[in-house]
Amino acid sequence: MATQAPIKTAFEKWQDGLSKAINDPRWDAYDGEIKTAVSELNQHLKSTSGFRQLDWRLIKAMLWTESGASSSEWHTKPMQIGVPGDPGLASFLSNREGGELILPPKWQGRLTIGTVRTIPSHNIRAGIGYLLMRTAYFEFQSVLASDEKTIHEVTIKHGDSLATIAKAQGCTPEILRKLNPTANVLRPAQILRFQPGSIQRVITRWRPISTDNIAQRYNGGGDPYYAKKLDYAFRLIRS
Amino acid sequence: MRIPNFIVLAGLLALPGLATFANGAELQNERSAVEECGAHSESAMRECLSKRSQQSKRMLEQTEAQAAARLSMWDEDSKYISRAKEKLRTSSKAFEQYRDAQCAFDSSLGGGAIGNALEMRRLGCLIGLNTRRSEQLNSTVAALPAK
Repeated sequence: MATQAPIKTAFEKWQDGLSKAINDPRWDAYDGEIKTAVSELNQHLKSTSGFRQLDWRLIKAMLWTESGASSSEWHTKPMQIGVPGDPGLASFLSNREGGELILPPKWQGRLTIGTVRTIPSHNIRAGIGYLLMRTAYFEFQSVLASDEKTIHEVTIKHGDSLATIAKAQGCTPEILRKLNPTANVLRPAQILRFQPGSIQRVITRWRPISTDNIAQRYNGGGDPYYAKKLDYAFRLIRS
Repeated sequence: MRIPNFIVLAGLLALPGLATFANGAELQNERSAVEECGAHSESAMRECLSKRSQQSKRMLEQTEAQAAARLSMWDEDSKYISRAKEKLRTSSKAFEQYRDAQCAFDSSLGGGAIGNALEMRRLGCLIGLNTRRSEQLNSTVAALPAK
């Protein structure tokens, strides 16, 4: 008796499509771009607290999940960042939400809304950069000026406070407190030590870069099978 | 010349897709649309959901037309029929406003995800609410006695 083949789920159909990709060189077209971009970002961010090296194959799995070589978008926006009306790309390039800390200096200013939407290598870099921006934790902290290590002194005048001294000397109240731990009450003629510095956004730690976190932070629940797809693509690529 | 109501209704039911829609066979909820469109990459999934969303919108428009036709057939005084038709129009407008606001809210729950993903959330929401509205309209007018 003939048996009927079981009906495949949508996810199984997607798996079938991807299984054919593994021997199709078109799906490896961006390997070089991905490796270079990931290597530059790993180098740039390695000194930040808690950063773990990004595996370029995970990014390749994202490209396979987001578009894939059989999609027309593969040739323009393989990471799918920058579709019309995408607030993510604008926030990444705004330099007000942490993107400026993620991008290596040589790429600052080179990525624009226009290039990210049309040049695959720029789309890949923006996509990885945005993923990392969404994975990092940021805080505003006092940061010492990198080009000025000398400790200076200032004499307190009547009416001075840590805030007015910091403003006048180009540092922050936190830096003054740190360099003058016993100066709880300010008196005229008292000497305070200071170093130039400012309040800046810094990366304080990182979320794990797992497929679940990528699904949550990059896809936002748009596709309930995103993490599962990513796991499958990552497994295929590693094998 | 006035066209009898039963002819109008028969004509509406003969519209492509409407007859099957009326018995719910074509209704598709948000979950099944997302599930079926999930057979694609994210870029194709968005296109798929966009098409399904347009379909659900057309279905709803047809259901609204069908509901209005059923009201015309209702065995009731004309002033009550007119009032019910006016309430249907008001209800449809209010539904559209609610749907768009609710789906914008749903999309916002994607947080800082990329725009493609936010749009997929919005489209899935539209499909779900259009479908439920169609079902509700169908069941609301189904039991009205005809002339």
